[in-house]
Amino acid sequence: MRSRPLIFPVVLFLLSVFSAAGQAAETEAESILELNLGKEIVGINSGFNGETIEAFGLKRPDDDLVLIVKGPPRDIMVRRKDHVFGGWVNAKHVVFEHVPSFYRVAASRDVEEMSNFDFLEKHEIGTDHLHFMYKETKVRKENIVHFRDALIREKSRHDLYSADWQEIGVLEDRFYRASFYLPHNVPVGDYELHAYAFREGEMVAHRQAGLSIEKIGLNDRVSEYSRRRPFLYGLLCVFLALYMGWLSYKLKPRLKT
Amino acid sequence: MLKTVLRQFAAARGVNNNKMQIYLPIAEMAVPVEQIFSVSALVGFLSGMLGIGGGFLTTPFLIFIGIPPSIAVGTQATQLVASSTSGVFGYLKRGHVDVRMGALMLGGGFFGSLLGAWIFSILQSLGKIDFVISVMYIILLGSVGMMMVSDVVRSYFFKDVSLRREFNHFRPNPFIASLPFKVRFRRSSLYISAIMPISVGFVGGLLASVLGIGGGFILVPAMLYLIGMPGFLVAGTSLFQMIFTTAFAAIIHAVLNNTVDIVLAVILMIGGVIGAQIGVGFTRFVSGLSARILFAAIVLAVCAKMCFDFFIQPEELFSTMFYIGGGPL
Repeated sequence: MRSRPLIFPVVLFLLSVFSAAGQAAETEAESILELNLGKEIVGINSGFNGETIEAFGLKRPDDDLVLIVKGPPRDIMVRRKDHVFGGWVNAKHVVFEHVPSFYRVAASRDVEEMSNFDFLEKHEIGTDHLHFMYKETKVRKENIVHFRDALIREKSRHDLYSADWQEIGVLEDRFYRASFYLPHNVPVGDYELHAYAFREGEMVAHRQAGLSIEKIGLNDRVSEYSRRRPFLYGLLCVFLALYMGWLSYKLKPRLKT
Repeated sequence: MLKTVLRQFAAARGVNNNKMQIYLPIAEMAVPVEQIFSVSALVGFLSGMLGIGGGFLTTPFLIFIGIPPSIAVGTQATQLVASSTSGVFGYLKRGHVDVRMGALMLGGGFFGSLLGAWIFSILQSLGKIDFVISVMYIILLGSVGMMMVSDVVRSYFFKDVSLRREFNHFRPNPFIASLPFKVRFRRSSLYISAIMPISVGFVGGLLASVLGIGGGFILVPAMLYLIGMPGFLVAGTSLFQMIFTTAFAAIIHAVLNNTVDIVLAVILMIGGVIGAQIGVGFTRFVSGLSARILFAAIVLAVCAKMCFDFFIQPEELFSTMFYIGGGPL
C-alpha cells in the first residue's frame, strides 16, 4: 500500500518516456533518409577520363526519392546572332549568374508523376525547372527564356547537363543506390548532392552531402603555378616552344641531295 | 619523307580506334591526343611551306572538340612559336630569310598591334564589332585572294617571263621608289625605303590584332606584292618575324587571362614542329608558283567559309562563354 503512491508517478514517468520515445521513433520513421557517397573526393590526374561516383543510403519504404547533383556555380554569357545589314553576327547577350556547371537528376520513378509542377519548380528538379539569375540586359524579358534554353542545350551537348532523369536502384523498398557518371570535362570544384524524399507529392525529408572534385599531382601543380607566377609560366611555355623548334631541326633526318 | 606524311594520314584515320586521352590542367578536360596531333602536324606543314600561322584551322578545331575559345587561342600562340622556330632554321640554312627586312617589319608590327588593340577596345565599346570584323575580314581576304589568283593566272600564261620574274620582277611604283631612308636589302636584292617594311609590318600587326587572326595572310602577300621580295624569301621571313609576335602573344595570354595550357601546347608543338620540318623540306619539290596557288586557294577557302558563316542563317544562333571578373573569357 505504501509503495503505490510511489509506483504511480514512476509508471507515469516511464510511460511518458516510452511514449515520447515512441513518438520520436515514429517521427524518425516518417522522415528516415540517409545519403552517403562512395567517395567524397574525386582526384583528377593526367589520365583522368571520366569517373563514376556512387550515392547510396536508406529511405522509408513507399517514399519516392530524388537525387540531384549540382556542380560549382559559374557565370555564363549567352550570345545570340542576329540579322544585321544582311549578315549574321553576334548581337544581343545575356549573362546568367551562378549557373550550376554540372547538373544531374536521378529518381526512383518518373519525377513528373511523383510531384506537381510547382514543386519541381521550387526545388529546381530537372533541367526544365532550373531557373537562373541574370545580369541587366537589353534583351526583353519574354525572350530571356530562349537564351536560357540555349544555355541548357549547350551544356547538354557537352554532357554537363542531362535532360533525362536516371533511375535509382531500390532494394527491398528501403535501400537505394544510384551512380552518377562524371564525364572527362567535369568542372573542378565543390559539388552538392541533394536527396529529397516525397510522399504523395509532398516533400518529407531532405539530406545534403558534399563532393569535391579536384586536380591532383602534376595537374594541380601546373595550374597552381600558372596562376601564381603567370609571367614565368608564359616564359616557360615560350622557351619550351623555342627549344622544341630547335630540337626538331636538329633531329630531322637529313635528305641526301 | 613521303612515308612520314602517309603515316600522318594513317594516324588521322585511325583516331577513333585507339583513343589516347590526356587531361589538360588549364582547360580542365581530357582530349584525344592523336587527333590534335594530326591537325597540328597539318598546320605545321602549311606554316613550314607557306609561312602562315594556320590559326584558321587550329582554332575552330580545338573549339570543336570542346576547348574554351580563349584557351584555344592562347595555347595556339605557343605552338606557332615552336613551328615557326622549327621552320626558320631550315630556311636560314639555305639563306632564305631576310633578317633585316623581318626585323624592320617586326618593329612596325609591334606598334601596329598596340594601336590595333586600342582600336579593338574602342570598337568593342561601340558595339557591333562583330559586324565590322566579319565584313573587314571578307573584303580583305577576298581581295588578297583575287589578287593572288590573277597574278598566278598571268604568270601561268606568260611562263617564259615569269621564270625570271620569280627572282626580281618587281618594279616599285614611283611613289614607293621616291620614299626616303633607303636601305639595301642584300638578300632580297632590293634597295628601298625602310619605311616600306615598317609600314607593312605596322598595318599587318594592326589588322591582325583588330581581326584576331591572320598575320601571315596579310604579311605574305604584302611582302610579295608591295615590298616586292622574291618568292623564295617570303615564307622564311614571315616565319622569322612570327616567332617574336607569337611569343609576345603567348606571354600576354598567360599573364592576362591564364589561357595557355602547357600540356595542350606540348601536344600541339610536337605535331607542329614535325609538320613544319616536312613543310620546309617540301618546298624543294614545289615551285614558287604552285606554293602561291596553294596559298591563294587557302585564302579563298577561308574567305568562302567566312562568307558562308556571315550570309547563311546558322542552325544554332546562340553561343556561350564563361564570364569571369566582369568580362567574357
